[in-house]
Amino acid sequence: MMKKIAFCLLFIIGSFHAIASIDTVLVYSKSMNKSIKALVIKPDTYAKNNPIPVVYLLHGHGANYMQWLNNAPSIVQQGKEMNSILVLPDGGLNSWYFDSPINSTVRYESFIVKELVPFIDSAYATKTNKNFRAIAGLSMGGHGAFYIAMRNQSVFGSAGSICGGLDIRPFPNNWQINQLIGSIQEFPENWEKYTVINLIDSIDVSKLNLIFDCGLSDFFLNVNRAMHQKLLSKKIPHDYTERPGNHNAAYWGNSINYQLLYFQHQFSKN
Amino acid sequence: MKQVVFSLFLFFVFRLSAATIDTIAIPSASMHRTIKTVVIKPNTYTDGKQFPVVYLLHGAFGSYSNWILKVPHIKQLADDFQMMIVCPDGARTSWYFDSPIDSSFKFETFVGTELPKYIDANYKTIANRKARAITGLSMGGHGGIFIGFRHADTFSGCGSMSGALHVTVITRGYEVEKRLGDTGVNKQYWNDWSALNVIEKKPSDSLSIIIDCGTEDRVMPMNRAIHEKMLKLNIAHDYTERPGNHDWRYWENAIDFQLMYFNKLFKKQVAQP
Repeated sequence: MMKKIAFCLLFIIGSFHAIASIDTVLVYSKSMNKSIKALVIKPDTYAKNNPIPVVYLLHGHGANYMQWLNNAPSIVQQGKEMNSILVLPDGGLNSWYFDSPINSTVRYESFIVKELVPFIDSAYATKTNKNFRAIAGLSMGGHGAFYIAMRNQSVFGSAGSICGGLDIRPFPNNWQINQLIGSIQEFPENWEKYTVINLIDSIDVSKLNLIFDCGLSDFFLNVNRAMHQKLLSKKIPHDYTERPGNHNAAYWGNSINYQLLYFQHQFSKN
Repeated sequence: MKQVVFSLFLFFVFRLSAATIDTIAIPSASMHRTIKTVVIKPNTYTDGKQFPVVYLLHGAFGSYSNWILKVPHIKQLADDFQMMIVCPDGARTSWYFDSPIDSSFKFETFVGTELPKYIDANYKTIANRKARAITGLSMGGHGGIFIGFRHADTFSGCGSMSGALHVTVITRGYEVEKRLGDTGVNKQYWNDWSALNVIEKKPSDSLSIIIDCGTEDRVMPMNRAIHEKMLKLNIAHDYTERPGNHDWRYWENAIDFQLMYFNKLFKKQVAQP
């Protein structure tokens, strides 16, 4: 079984050889005292003396760092076309990309911002200005991308969410969120503080380039609509799309092409 | 010096392989005159391949040359997506209607029937609805939806950017009254030919639809209305709201997303040789 998986992996990566090269890196996280895997997808034109932009792609709940490549293989070709590095880190099965206030072993916001980004910038030829750094994700990763970008605007200039859980409060018993921030009964204040839709009350996100979308059959549609309405009422610029689709790979694999195009536009403005 | 010559050579090779543009006068049998049209062919046009076509319509008081002059990078998009782009003239304010009061305006017939026939006969197209889409800006967004729905046997994709999608309420300033006549006498046309109402008749052919609008645009309410109505009628469509106004800065951005959408549609529907 294991051998077969390894072979498939080799095959997938091998078939991209002509347009890109893919590194699997182990990044040590000091804050969590463990090493975390990430894929780094570089266009075949990548050269050490020519720094290029970076897009970080976060996976969803219950998945891992391979999800984006498996569900949306077209990102390899598009990464080449937009001349950018794509970084696909592991975010744990259910971290929600938080620094957990009740579990000190979960430090994924710190990992992404303070450990992963500096590692990538030192190991690869990247443009280190935030205008050339974007972060996006699906589902839990959509929440993670917005949560991290909004709270770390000196690091990220653009953020995208694909059917993201942009408000976690309607889902107090789902996806082990209560193991990260406590139960909603015991720690109601955490659920107000850690949900993306509330961040925009206390943080000015008007300078951040925001894009998000959701499928019309998705269980996260209502929280995405609520986020769109709230941003409109606060006059905060953002791209928002609704389209046919459900919470699945077919939707993500389609949506990411538009979000990468959006990031390409942002990179080329600078 | 050698290096310079070599670079120059590369430059010309590159130039030669970029998209090419024909500006032609296409005969309209229904209007007994010719209509100017810009035809953009991708860089590999001479390689013996056949290409899908996006018909791209201009806005009120515009012309066939608007798109190529204001958004020259659509040539690059034709190359990137290996598609043809055809921009017909819409006679400033035809609204892409066959006017019930002026027989010299038959623009639904021209754009929906005569033009695709001519393009298929004279260019190396994939002559199939699965490889044809129509979209445009403002009045042309209206045209994209109006013609897309009424000629779904010809087009499998239709779109609108900042579309003036409800002509029923555009009673002055944009010459709709010159095409549809008195709002009382011709009330039926004013009502039935609004894109917002045209969608009530769902075509038997499948239609892929993409609609977008800028949040600062005056036509935003019409776009929200058609989005809501399509949701209610269960008409699948992509719908985007993004920052922007009714201007070329918006359209030069929006067109990239629309053509990506149609490229995906063509790739899905047409087997690649």
